[in-house]
Amino acid sequence: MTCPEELEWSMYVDEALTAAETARLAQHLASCSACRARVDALGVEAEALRAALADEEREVAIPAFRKTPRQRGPLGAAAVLIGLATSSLAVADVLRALGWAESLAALNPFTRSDAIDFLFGTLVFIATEGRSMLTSTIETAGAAVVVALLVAAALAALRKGRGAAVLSAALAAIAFSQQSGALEVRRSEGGVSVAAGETIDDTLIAMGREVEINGRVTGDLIALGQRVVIRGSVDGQLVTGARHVEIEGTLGGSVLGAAETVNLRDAMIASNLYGFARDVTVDRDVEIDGNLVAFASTAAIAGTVGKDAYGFAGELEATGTIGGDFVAYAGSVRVREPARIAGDVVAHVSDENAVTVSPGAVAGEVRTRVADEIRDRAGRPAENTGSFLAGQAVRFGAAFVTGLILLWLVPPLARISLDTAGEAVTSAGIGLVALVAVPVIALMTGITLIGLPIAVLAMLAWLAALYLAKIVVAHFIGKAVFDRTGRPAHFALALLVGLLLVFVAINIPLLGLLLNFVLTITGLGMIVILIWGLFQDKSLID
Amino acid sequence: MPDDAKFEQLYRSHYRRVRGLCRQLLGPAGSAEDAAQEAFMRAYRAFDRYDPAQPFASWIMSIASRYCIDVVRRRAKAARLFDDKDVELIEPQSNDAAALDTLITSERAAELKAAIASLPDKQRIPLVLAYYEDASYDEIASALGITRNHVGVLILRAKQALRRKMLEPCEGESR
Repeated sequence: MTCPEELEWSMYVDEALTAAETARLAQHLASCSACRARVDALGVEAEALRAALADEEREVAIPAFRKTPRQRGPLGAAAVLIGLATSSLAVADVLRALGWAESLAALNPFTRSDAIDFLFGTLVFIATEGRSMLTSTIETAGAAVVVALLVAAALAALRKGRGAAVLSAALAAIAFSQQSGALEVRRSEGGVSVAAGETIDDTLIAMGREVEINGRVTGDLIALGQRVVIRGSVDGQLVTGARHVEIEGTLGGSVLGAAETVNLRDAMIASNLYGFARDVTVDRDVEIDGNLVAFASTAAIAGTVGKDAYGFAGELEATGTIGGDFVAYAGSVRVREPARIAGDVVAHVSDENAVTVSPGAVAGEVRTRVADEIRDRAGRPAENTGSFLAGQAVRFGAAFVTGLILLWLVPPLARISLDTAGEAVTSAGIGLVALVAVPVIALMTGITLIGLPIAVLAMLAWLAALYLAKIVVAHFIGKAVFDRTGRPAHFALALLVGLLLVFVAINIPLLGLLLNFVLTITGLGMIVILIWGLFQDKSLID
Repeated sequence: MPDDAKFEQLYRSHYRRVRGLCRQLLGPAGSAEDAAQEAFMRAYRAFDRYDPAQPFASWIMSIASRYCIDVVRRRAKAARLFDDKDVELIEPQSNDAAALDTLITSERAAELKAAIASLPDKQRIPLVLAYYEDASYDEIASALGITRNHVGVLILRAKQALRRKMLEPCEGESR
């Protein structure tokens, strides 16, 4: 009979085995003197360890009990705040020097009102435009998510977390299987082209200096390069990032284009067009059956848009046909002959004179909303209090709904804990680094042209994270409030209370701006730490 | 919230033991005082959830150990600390278990303590939980997120490492 291993005996002595195992070992023990000696020795050893660990701390002084954490590092906090102030000025300078398009300025977190207006505008738009728009957005986002997941899988594979890599790859596979049956990747230093008459019967990812699609792609097309030209047809969605994007072909789905110039010449787009670019040009012969959404420095719409057109631009000009409303957030808005707009024109501008509309071009109403900058900067006139409160209520609701979805989708966010002031400062510091580093890295990547789409994606993720940061921090604050009373609450309630506190705080004149900033970077830091933690260990999660 | 005077009393009577646990769990690099304070602070805040049928000692010890394990985890972010996948090998025929005991004369007790403190986190933590906190293997397993058998392996590894350290011709003596 062979004797049990030492591991079993060690666990036997520590009473860590199941009853059956214990019985089996006890039976063996009765008949084996060698093992009896071993068990005795292990027992003595365990006692020796207990003794060595036990007689401790006899003479240790007991400090007074503190109910609240020691405020660690007020100096550190001050240093971070000073750093914040100076670097935010630096960032603002850099952005100004680089001449950010005015449309992007609207998204700039330092001018808070417009960013949220824009996001909420998008939500309202989705709610009113109904399902078709939503599904196509989801599909387009799905394609973008696939790219992100592939990148995540690669990153994860580089680190040790094989599990994460497999998960990302699996998710990517699932996302793809919903998108289309298969995937073809073509890449080359020089050019990638699909010749006229050639048909690619699945989703195509094309990467090269010049990407030219003259044939047909039956799935989705993801095209990244310096110049992307689509003359053929794509049955699915088109996601493209390049310096110059030219589209003359037929698109069965939506188009998401991020580039310096997006130029649609003779294109037919069965769904929506989202253009993020310095210049978005939609020529006369273009037909877009869905909506047009342009984020640009200058956007010119001469073609036909089946539904609504949304423009966030420095200069916005419409000379084409728009089946729905024309909503503009712009420096200047022009609607010129031969434009025909079936719905309303809603122009959000800073100066009433910046809107020119040719008579007879608009079937609906023309409404000009002048964004009064003075109102936002320093106190609000009394007559605007009502609309201001309504606006805040709407923003609050939007933030609440977004937060609920976010916490539901990403449960670890609800478990973030910052145990000490030191950790809060660390989080804020990391958030600040992310706030500054992402645009800088994105700009540097963007200069290399091939990196442009990555840069654009990074900036979009960055903008999203900025919006989500305050929601995350609000939930954390709400949770902390309830934890302190000793009655932990449901995350929705914690979020509600936290958001209320945050909304009140950031609306305090002047101080609110600083609080807004600090809360944003703290939340951003939490998000970064959380994402980092997913790749490492669960750092901030209980 | 608990009655302050009553909690103060609990604090005074359990502080040393909790601080001891924190010191052993955190190892030489951690601040046991801060960790003990934190543990009591958490207990104070969560006192409503304390079940008086259970001894206060085991409740506060479990709060402290959970907190310390978190701290160590955070400290060792890069290296995955407890991972069921890397169950390490046990020396098949190790030094005699009794070796430790016979060597623990009073002058070597300090040496054993130092040897425990110098164990890697992943061995020291289960050992301390088992022999200082008197936690069962199942409790340790759930606290560390590993299997009971893995706990057994880590503890045995710790014992074997200690035996080896104590049997080494030690530099301490020849000083």
